[in-house]
Amino acid sequence: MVSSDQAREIALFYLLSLMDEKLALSAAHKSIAQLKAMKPLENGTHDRVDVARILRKGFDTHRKMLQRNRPTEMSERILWFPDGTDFATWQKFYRSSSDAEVTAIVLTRILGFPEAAVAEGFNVSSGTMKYRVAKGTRQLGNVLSKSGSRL
Amino acid sequence: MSEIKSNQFTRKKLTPFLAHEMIYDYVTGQLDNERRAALEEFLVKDSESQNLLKNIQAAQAYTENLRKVTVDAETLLQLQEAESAVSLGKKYSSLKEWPESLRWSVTAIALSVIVAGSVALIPWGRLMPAKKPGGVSQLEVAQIPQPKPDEATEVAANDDSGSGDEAPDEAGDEGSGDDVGDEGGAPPVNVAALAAIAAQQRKATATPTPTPTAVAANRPPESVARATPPTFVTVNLPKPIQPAAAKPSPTPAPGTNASTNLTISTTPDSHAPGDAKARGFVYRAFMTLDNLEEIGPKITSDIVALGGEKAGEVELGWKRGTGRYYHYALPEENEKKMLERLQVYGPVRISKDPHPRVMPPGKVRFILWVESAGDPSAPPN
Repeated sequence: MVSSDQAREIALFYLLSLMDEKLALSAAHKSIAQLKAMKPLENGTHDRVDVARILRKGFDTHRKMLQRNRPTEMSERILWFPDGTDFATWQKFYRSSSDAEVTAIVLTRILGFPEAAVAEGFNVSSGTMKYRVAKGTRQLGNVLSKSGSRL
Repeated sequence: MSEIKSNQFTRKKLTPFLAHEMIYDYVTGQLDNERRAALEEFLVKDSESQNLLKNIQAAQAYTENLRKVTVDAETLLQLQEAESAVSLGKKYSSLKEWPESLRWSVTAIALSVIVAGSVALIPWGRLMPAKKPGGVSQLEVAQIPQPKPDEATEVAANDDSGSGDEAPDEAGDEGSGDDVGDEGGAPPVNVAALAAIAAQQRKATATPTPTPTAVAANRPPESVARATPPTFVTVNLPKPIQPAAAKPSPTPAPGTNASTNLTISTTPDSHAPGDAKARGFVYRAFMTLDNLEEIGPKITSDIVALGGEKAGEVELGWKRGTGRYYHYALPEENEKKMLERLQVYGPVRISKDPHPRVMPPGKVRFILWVESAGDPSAPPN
């Protein structure tokens, strides 16, 4: 059983990290099916480490199907941004950062995954994950400063 | 040690590179007090670090806003229904997840299969043995071996009615009543059945509870078949008026069909209380009577009146099929009286057979089988 919050997190991860609606939804569909096959915790949710592991495998599989720096194909209806939040900033950040930084920022800063769980799921050390997050944050800050927006 | 290091750090000058690397930790609150103080002191002086700090703070604010991004609800519903083969198998492995109609159908089919399988596999015939029609169970009886030629000749010489010829042949014929002149087509007496009964009684001496049905069904062991089987000698006696006046005669009057017949057989050297091999003996008596329902209880009362008491497990006059079975011990002095009493009711065929069971001194044992006349059942061969 996968809750709506978990489904949203998985969909949002792929949408923000792949920037291709069709591929992201396909990856999300498979990841949710994999998650349903796993035994949940007592409270009905799944372990963050397992979720991070599934997301990493899904990202690695579907990322190969994309060309870097290709134009994003995302419909306006699939994601709804709050007022004052610019999607173009994210697109610029996505193009100027590595996959590791993008996924680290999405999981830790946007979806709120613990850095330790993401590090274990991605099979890297906690220091490496912390460095990726820090670098990604700085890069995102640079993009924001260059675009002239602070939000 | 940590104090030394921190003191060393504070004494060293914070470089821009180090400061830039520490700004993220500073924003996320992961710096210790000394480093934070040093960085704050550096930030006051370095504008680039200040810009970097602002960028990081802006990035944090931006990512906080991205947390509020929503995904299309319809898309989310479609994603929640995603299933794989493993997840489907896991889902439907639990019966509770099945649709109710399907669940009840499968349950009904499973119960039907179980019931049909149990009916087909369980050997009901062994559990519930079928009863033979007619109410009369003809069981296989023991084969009583033919008497020795010398005894047969002796018996034939004493036989007036020719029943001695029949006796050797009919020793295996369960001693039917035909040899005592029962021309009414009386059904034969199950001699072998009585032998089986006697064998069962012998077993009763060793085993505590022999069953009545088993008594009739068991074959007597070979030892019971006797090395010297008795032969029957039909003796015609005048019908006694009083039971006391009747005495068995070795020379019966011929052609006296109305007379009371007492058939006595003896087994020479068959019983010797002092003989270790022969041990004891038993009187086996057979009668065929009309109106057994009325006479049977009378015989029982006669036995009891003469001091008889049951010597086996079944009660006196135990009813089996169309006959009655009496197995009792009697005081020896009442032996003749017993025979006289029985002759009142009809002809008696009696034999004295060796038996391993030894009765106490002064006691003799009888096995009396009374068959009801007019029983259409054929004698088992």
